[in-house]
Amino acid sequence: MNPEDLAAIWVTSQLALVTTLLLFVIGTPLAWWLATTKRWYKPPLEALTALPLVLPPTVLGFYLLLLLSPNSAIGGFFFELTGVRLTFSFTGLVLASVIYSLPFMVQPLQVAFERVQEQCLEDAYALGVRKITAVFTAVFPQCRRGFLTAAVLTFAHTVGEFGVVLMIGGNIPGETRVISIAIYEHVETISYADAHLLAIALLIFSFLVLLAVFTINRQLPLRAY
Amino acid sequence: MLHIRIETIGEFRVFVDHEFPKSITAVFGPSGSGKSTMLRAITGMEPSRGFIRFDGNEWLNSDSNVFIRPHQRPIGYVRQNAQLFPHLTVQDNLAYPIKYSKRQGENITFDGVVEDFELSSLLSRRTNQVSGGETQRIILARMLLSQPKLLLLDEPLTGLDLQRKAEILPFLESLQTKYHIPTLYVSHAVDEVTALCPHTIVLAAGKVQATGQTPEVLERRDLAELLGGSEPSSIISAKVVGHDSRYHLTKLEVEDRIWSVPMHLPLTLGETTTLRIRARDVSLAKVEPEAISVRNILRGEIVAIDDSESGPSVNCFIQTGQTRIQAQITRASLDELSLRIDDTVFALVKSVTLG
Repeated sequence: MNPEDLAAIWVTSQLALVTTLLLFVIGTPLAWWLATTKRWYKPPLEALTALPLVLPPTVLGFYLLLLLSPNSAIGGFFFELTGVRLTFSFTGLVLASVIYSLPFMVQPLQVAFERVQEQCLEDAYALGVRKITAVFTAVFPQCRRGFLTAAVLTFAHTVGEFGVVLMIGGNIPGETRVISIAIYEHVETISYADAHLLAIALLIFSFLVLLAVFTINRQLPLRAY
Repeated sequence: MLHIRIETIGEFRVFVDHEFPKSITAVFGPSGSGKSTMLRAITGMEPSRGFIRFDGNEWLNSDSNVFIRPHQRPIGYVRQNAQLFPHLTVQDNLAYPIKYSKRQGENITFDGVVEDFELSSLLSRRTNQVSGGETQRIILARMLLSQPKLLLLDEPLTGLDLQRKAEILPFLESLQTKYHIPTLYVSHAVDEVTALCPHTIVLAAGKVQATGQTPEVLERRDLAELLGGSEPSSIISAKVVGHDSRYHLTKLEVEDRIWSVPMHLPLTLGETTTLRIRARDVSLAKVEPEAISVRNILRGEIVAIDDSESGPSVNCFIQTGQTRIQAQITRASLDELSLRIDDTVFALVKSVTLG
């Protein structure tokens, strides 16, 4: 495998890891809020969270490009502040991926929280335990499956990104060129052997990840220690 | 002790204004009468207006915006179909309130509760490796370890078969005899109530229908339907004075009379138990019967006659010493014997249920 493809694998892994970690921090409270609130604006927010599931990545990428470019208000402000461009940069890719993969983190968590949360919290209150402690010691441990599923889906989905990355990140080797774009490039330049190598690697990786999730979920009993 | 005047705010309105005595009170009533909602309102988990005072502390006062959060009220609450935390072992379930609750208490210790509830052999088990009766015991023990000053038990025996119930009852009794924690006990089973609870409050349609000493409340015919169709009956307490193994009888002392009832060996000598006598199991005679098979015959005076119902029967209340017994006889017999208040009669008790 040539060094540029290795660099693409490295960029992809970094991107997926950072995105998953960030979404873990952002997605958990958001999913909790969606699972527990009864306010009228819950449905619109749920719809907004799920939008990346149905929108063509080019639509999302297009608006992100407009929003994040140094000529725009947000992108310009960020550039003034940090000297980092949000378009055609790794930082920009992370930001886009966080938005794009949001539903893959939030939805499994929300389902898990909804199943466990209410009675479990009340049982803990009745034992004299305050909410924040109860959430971390009683609710979250019972939602392990949900956390695992959410993290793996987010990671795998980020690895498989193409459209948004192309729109907002471009194709800078070692910076924004991820595996899917490298494959696209190999096909464009008719170097099918290189494309094969990356494609089969991605295929096997994705299959193994999903296999691991389903296996662990089977073995991790719901009522268990 | 516990004084509440609350009205719940949710879809189902429950209004209760009551001062609970410092012992164990049965909360009785048909399903949908508001029993569980009232308990939840006392815990603070069900929004309500009004006030809740406990031992000089105010937990709720909607006039002055006092609201103590559920986990800060020293309540041991066992909801219906309560469960253990499935991700923890039995030991960790029991230790959970000790580890994570800030409530203070001195005399309830882990080792003591484990011993009292006979749990030492279960500690290392997972929650799916214990039976329903054991789960219930662990739930009660875990509740005690949260150092409660008031217990709210919502049908803690529901879903258990008769034998399991009989296994748990002594543990429920020990909550009173050993730990002396005032309790509200929601139930729809008369037997549980007579055995455990000296006081009763009856709810229906979200309102209090009756309160008082359990025997008196259970005697009231106008409540019979609310009490789950239970029949009017009398509750009296008795002391065990002996077992007669030849005739398979247990001897009980009621005031200064000795009763014989079918032998019930779990009772130990000197123990106090309750007897429930259904009104229809009591007949009346104007003269002392002789040569008769009924063994328990009491002499007393008629103190009240309840003929408010239009059916064939009337209920007579017979006072004998401190004890009051209810007899259901036909209206025809009442007239034929021309029974009146203050008449001396003999009550023939054909069968009793031990509490």
